Amino acid sequence: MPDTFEKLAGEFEGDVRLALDLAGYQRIKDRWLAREKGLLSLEMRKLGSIDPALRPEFGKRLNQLKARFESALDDLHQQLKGTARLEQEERSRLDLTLPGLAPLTGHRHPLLKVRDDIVSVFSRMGFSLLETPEIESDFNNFEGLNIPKDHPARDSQDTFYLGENLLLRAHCTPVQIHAMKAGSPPMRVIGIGKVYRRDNPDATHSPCFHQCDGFAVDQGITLGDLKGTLETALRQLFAPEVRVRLRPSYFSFVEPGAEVDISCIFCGGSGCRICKQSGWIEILGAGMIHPKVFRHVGYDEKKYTGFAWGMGLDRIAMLKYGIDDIRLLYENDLRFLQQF
Amino acid sequence: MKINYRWLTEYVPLTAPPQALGRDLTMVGLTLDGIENGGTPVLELDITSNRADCLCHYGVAREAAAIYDLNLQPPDWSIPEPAGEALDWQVEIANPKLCRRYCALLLRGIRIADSPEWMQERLRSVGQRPVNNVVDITNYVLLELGHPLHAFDLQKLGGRKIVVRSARAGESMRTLDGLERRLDPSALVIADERRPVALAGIMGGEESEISSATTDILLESAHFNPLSIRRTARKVGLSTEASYRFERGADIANAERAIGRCARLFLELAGGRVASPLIDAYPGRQPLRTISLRTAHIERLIGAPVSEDFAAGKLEALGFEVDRKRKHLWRVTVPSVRQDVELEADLIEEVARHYGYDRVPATLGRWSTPALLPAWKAGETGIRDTLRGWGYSETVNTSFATSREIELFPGYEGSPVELRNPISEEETRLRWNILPMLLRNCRHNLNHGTRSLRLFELCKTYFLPAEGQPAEKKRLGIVLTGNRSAPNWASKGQEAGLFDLKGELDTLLRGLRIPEISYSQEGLPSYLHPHLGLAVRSRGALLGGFGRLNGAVDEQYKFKQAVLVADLDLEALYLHMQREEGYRHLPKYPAVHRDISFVVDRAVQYNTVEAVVLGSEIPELRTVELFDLYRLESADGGHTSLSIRLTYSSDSRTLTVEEVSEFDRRVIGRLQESVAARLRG
Repeated sequence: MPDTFEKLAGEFEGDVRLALDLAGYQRIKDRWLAREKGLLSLEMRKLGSIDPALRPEFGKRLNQLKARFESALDDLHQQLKGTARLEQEERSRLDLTLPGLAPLTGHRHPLLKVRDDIVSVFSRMGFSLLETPEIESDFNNFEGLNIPKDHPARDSQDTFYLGENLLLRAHCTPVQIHAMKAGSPPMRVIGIGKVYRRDNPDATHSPCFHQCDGFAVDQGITLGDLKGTLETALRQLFAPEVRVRLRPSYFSFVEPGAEVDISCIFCGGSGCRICKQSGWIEILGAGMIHPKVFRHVGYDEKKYTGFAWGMGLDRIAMLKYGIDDIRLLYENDLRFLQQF
Repeated sequence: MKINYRWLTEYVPLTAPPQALGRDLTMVGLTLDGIENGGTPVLELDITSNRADCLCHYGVAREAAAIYDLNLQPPDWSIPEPAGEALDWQVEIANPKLCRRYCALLLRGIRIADSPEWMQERLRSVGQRPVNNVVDITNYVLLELGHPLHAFDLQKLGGRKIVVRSARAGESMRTLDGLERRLDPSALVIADERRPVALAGIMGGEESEISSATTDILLESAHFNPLSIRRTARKVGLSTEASYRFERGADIANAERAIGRCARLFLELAGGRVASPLIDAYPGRQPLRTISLRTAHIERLIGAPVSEDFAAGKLEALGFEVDRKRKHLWRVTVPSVRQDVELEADLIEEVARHYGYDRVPATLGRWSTPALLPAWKAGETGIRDTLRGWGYSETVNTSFATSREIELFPGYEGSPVELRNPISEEETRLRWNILPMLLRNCRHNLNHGTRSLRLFELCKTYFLPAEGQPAEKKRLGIVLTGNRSAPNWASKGQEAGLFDLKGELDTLLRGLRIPEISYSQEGLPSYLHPHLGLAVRSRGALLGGFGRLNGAVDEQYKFKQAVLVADLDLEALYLHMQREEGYRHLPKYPAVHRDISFVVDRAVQYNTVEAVVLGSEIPELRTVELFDLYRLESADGGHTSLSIRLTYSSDSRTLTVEEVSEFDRRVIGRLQESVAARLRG
């Protein structure tokens, strides 16, 4: 009888070796371990015809065999399942070099990017945003800002007029008049928006463009405060390593007046074509608010001082992004917008 | 302004080389544009319009002297004594408002020749062409002292009188450039007893021009009203070195120095003798301006530790007289050459720029007011971010409009705003409706090969109300055309349609918490397709319209594909935005979904079906969603098959199957009653 068990084990192992897939596994399982017709069950029924003295041993060995077969079949099952899975995965394999399905993306306009950055930077330094009209009075655009009546800027050559004493603002500086008249010091305000000059459109001029003006009024505001505020802002708008230079200049609504340069972002300050070899790029005009402006808005010039600045957004966007033609900013070609 | 470096050193003993000088001048406000390195270095300086005093070598020398603490060395400008027989000439100023001073000096026995090489070289180096000694000397003195002079051939002048007067109607004269000019009474002229001989302060006349035969000269050094010079120069279309300086306010005291210096150079380089004393008509003599300067304010304004001695020293170097008798309040007298200095702040600027803006420490100041953003900013940011997230790109356009655009796209109220002096012949108005510019962008991009685009713009539109001033209103404009998703290898891509736009706008408005949104086909703008357009309202107030453009507009723009637009009143949106709401409890009890499919007559609109369902008065019925729809054509007009999903839930219990079935029965019953719905499988 040991031979029988060995024979059975041998045959079983032969079957197992030939099992190629889960169907094969199932066949082996049914053949050997099926309750009614499985070979081991049949063997078990032979128990009745065996010598009673040998029955316990026979039963025990048969059960051992059964346990062994079940364990072997479990392993086989695991193995074949794994293989089956791999095969399935292999069959459903994709060409992963195909491009991903990109969603539609909208793009920001570079002028508006600069605008958002400016609002953000100056907000962090305490400046409130005030939007003022594009259609302005002569007083708000010129007289209140100490621009004399015979100044060339007032010519119908340079400014768009809509009527007597009604024009399209030539700069954002009227925000000073609006804000100071509407409130009382201290205050820190910026205004941003479209401004208009009668320039024929070309690579560096657009009759409609964008500016940002800001100012601060309080007791004890100094030229040093102007310098520090602008340095901080410009380093955030351009790059932390940018150097800022203030040099004396003239605008009728500030005194002392200044022009502000940044170290050339193209050559780092060593000199190139863009900065005309000087290492500096002029970026904005600024100064201490002119006492005559304070008089126009009714602020006590003996008590208060203030600083003010104005910058062109188009210029900044063009410098920052290397855009060489201002008309691109108003053309809205998608091939341009998609770069931002 | 070109400044010859070596010429400059005549007035100030410079040791700083040209590059360094250029840098230092820049830092006091005379910006160096560049240096020409020819035979002698020439600095190109950009002089601001308030510094007429620096439009000459002596003025720049004064600045340099102040920078380096050097002594200024003026040329000899004393009036030379007359020699021999004196001529008796008079000067009459008929219009003292336009001419506050007129100096004249007569010279005889002048010999016209070339000016010496050194003078020619200096003139050439700064862009002036040498002519002859007399003309060159007047130009030289102009570039040296900044004061324009004019020399007349004395023998060509009639009588013994110079009259400074307004031109008379009908008068004309031929100027040095050979042009015959009609004069009108707004122009100031220099005239002899017979006729005008010069356009005052701008250009001399041809008749009395210096020629090689000239031997006797009347030398003029005067002061003219800047405004009058500017107006006349503009009118006749002339701009000369002389007019340039008078427009910016030449120094009235300089007139005398200039004539003295000029006369001396004539004697030296052209021979002859002075034949008259200085004739000086000076009706407009004014005392020098004095300004009070609070010494404490210097440091207060600049924010740097500027010492009083430093401040006084620099002011004096620059030509100001500083009376320091009162310790904290100085009286500063302004030299006549600095008409730009009027107030205390102007004096402080003089100190600050010579102290050095670069030396002023950078501080931030203090602030005590909150940095506020306008209330609408959050809404604006929400709109921009949302649209961008859906693939819309933001545009920025100019504010102009053509008549054609105004016609095709009427504005929202009032009438369009006209420009009195437009720059182009076509764009003579301001944008009245927001869409035309966006359609220009659309047209441009389609022309350049794009098939699909989604653009939006937030900006102002302008109108003239029936009464009052022009006004500005903000609007949101959207244009889209082409595919609604990018075609790729996995899917073909679908054409964007009206319902895409409706869905986006609806979602956008809900996202802004705009309440009670409703759509209708009434009151559509004329540029929309009558059957493919909708107006959208909130609580009955019009927010705007959207839809497909109509055929006439398509034709005008030559659009070969469907273009959709939306045009919303941004200010109305901001007005209707509600505050954020608090949290709403998550449902405790599960919801039940039931799908119902049914057929209705073609004419039944969906909002009716929805209203019928929601009007079932079942509080547990939370939502109804349309998830399938198709049209069935038939002989009797056609039907629509709809599949809706009803969602039921209760806050207090789990609904039973029986309850839900009862709800369904009620809903179906209403549908059958109200819209003759026929159930489908």
